[in-house]
Amino acid sequence: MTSDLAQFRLIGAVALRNLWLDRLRTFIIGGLIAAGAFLAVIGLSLLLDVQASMRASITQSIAGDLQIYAAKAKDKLALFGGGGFMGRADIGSLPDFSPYKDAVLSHPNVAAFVPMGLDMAVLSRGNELDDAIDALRVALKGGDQGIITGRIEQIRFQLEQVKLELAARRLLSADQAELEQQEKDLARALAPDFLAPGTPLTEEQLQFLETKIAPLSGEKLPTYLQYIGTDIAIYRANFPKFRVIEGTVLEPGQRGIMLSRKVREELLKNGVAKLFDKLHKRIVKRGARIAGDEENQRFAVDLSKQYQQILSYLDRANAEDLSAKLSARGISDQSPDLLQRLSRQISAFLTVDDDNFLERYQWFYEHIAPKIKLYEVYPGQTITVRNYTRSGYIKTLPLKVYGIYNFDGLEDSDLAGVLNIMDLVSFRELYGQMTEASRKELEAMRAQVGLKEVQAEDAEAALFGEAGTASGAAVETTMGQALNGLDASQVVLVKPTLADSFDPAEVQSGLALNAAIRLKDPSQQARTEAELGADLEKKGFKLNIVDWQQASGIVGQFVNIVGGTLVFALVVIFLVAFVIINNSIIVGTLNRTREIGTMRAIGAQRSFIVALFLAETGITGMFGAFGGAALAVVAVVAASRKGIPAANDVVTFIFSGPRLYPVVHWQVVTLVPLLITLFATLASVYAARHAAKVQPADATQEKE
Amino acid sequence: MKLRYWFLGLAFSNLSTPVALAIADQEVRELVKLVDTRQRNVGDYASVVFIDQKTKDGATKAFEARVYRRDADEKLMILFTKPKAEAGKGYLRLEKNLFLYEPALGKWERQTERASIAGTNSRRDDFDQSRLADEYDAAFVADENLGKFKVYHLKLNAKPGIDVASPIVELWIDQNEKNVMKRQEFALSGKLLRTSYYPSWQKMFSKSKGAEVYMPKEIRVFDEVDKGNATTVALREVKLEPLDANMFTKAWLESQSR
Repeated sequence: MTSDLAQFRLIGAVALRNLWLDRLRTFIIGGLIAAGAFLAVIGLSLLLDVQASMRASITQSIAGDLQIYAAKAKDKLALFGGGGFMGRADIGSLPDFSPYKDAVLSHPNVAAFVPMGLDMAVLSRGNELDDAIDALRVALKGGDQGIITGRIEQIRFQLEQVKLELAARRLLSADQAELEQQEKDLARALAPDFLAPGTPLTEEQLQFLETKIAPLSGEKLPTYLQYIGTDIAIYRANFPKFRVIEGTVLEPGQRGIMLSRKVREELLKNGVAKLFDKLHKRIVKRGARIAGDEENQRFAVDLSKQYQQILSYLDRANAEDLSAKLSARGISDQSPDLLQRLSRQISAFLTVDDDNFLERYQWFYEHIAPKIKLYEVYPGQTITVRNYTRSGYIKTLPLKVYGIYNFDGLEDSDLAGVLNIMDLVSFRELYGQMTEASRKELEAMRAQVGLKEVQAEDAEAALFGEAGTASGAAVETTMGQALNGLDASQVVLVKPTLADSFDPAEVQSGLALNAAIRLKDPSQQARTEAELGADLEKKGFKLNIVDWQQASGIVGQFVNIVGGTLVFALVVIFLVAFVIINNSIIVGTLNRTREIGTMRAIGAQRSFIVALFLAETGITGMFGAFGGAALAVVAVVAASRKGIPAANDVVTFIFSGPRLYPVVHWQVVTLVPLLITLFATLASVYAARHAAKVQPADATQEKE
Repeated sequence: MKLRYWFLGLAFSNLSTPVALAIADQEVRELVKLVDTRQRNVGDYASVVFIDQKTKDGATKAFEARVYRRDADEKLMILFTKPKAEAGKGYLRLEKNLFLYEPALGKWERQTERASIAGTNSRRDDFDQSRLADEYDAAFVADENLGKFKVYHLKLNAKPGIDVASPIVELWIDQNEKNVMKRQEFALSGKLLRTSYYPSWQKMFSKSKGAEVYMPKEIRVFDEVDKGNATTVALREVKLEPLDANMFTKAWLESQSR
């Protein structure tokens, strides 16, 4: 034992002496190992941080720790950026989630069960002229002559803009006859006696404006709204990243929708403001100048062409005021025609560069934004959402917009910001779910019409056979008389029955498409998932149970992709290091042939030589790896002070916010250097064995 | 499926269907032309339409709506009367504009013609009059039996350069009454897309046309791609009397749901 210790000490001493004598080689190999350790510690630390951030982003915004959905789903659940056609995955449904809720909540590690449904609706929109004519209709019903006159003035001003557009279109239009007809229609609308303040407007005139004139102002593209329906009370209690930033929160029992800030900013904001915002973000937050930046230049060019997006919201008074203000700030035009003058002034104002951008951005929000409709939807307004139900018909539903929300820390994330949140009862209606009352109503309707049910397989026999209903041969002749005297002028008096609230108990059970499960101890996720899966199966429930990563779709897989990429990079680094270390030791061995031969000649065993070489590498590896790890700790601590900024919106989501604040993972700091040392030592085994083969006679040979 | 919102098409097309004779090519052509002619109405139209939809996964939905149409001005009004949740909603089509009325909001929304067709998943020919003779070349296939009825089986192939929804259509026509009893539509590949049955018709005299028009009273449509999806359309209380011009206004539809 004593002898072993003495030999161990001897090997250590000789190894240290050799390392010192060959300082340059030691430094190179140690440096390589240190660099590898530095990268490994930094990389693995960041990977753990990103995993934690992503987990927070996903689990605390929408997914929960686990999700369940029907086993007979055609598509996989993908809460972010996935699904089937147009983002509508067919994940089946849970016709009544309450039995599953009871089963899941009985597990000791489950904190909450949040019923959900994900779907997509269309929000179609008219143009500004539609809005103005609609407002005129309302004013006419109200009878206030002052308001009516204001509306008429606004429409006339917009019609003058349409006239200019038509004149411009004349150069481009292939159908000159259609254009001439449009110009005639417009001329009629602009005639002094058509829209004159004080002159009563007939229904025919209003209809003429709505059908012939409004379409001339162009059409907006429909907006697609992705939404989840949920029990808002349970949702808010379990998803801490949800934060209302404007308006009020949707309370339990209320029908309504919360729009995502990102959706409103991207899809429902005035085009000029949106372009200003995009440029502002890139210039101020990212430090990208307009000059020399291709994307910024494209935005700037687009911006300079968007004057119509401002003009179309102005009435004459506002237009004159804006023209005067622009003149006062040095953007003037000599045209006597207000529209032409203001068009040029706004166009000049919107022509931005690095020198004037910030000042114009502020001026826009100070002087122009208050005069236009900045957003198409404001909290408190009601929007009509339209959706294809699962049975294939279109359902429209008016929903009050209660407020605008954010997921905390994910304000700029494209991925987290696409979802709007509505109550579960409205979701069910848009989904096309029938209540018991509506089912009975449907049966009564069918009974009244008296059509018997026919299956495709035996339709011909049922309809045209002996027992069929067909009167194909016997055509019923009515000779112009209504069968039951339908009177077209008869008032039907149908009444809408939609209430703006519901009994909160309605969402305690019933239809959901999926459900989020929050855990008391998320670190026990895998075990809980397995136990829940077994428990649900034992109870005979046919369900898919997936973790947050799988449930979040392609975004959730990002963690794996990032991790896989990092591990791959580290493996490559280690392989390169392995080859370098191995080669340098072999070269070193060749240079040390005389020394090894001498040691062998004075009685050193081969095992001693092998141990010596391994010790040299081990010591180098130890110092290098821990040195590199120490440097990595310093770097992580430094980075954690300011945070690592997210380069773009996708990274914002990965970072769970605009910056990632890395933390020191001590298990990584200790484990990685040990592994690297071991790896480096093992890498030198071949070289050590090669060195051990040197014969004592080699020591006496002179180099050639 | 095309007939998701067929009530829109109903008002435009008189439920476009064909009728034919048999034997010689020339006679077949004349018969298809006759089918077009006798289904076209010139003037106003009113009916109560019941649409019942069932899908293979068990989902079901039904509507009852009043449909008013004025061909001369390209005007169409659809007012939903049942179920309660839909009652009062309406579509008003004026030329190329389609307005949707949401009674709970008391608001109208104008949609483009493109949106109205694509948005309702209906096809161009749903909105057109029957123009089989213009769009297809017809050929006699066989004398057949359809249940207890003797029918002519015709095959129609779309004429070159004509844009139609179904490039191939097959018709089974009652040999006695010359009404279409069955219609199948195929893709260019020959794949069967849907089968429709017309078990009952009614003949009416249209004063505005000065002639008789034929209208189906019931249509059964079976989706052959998504097997199990089916739609039943029933037309009741059809009337061809002139309608009041004020009916095709927003004010009229609003007045129905106050």
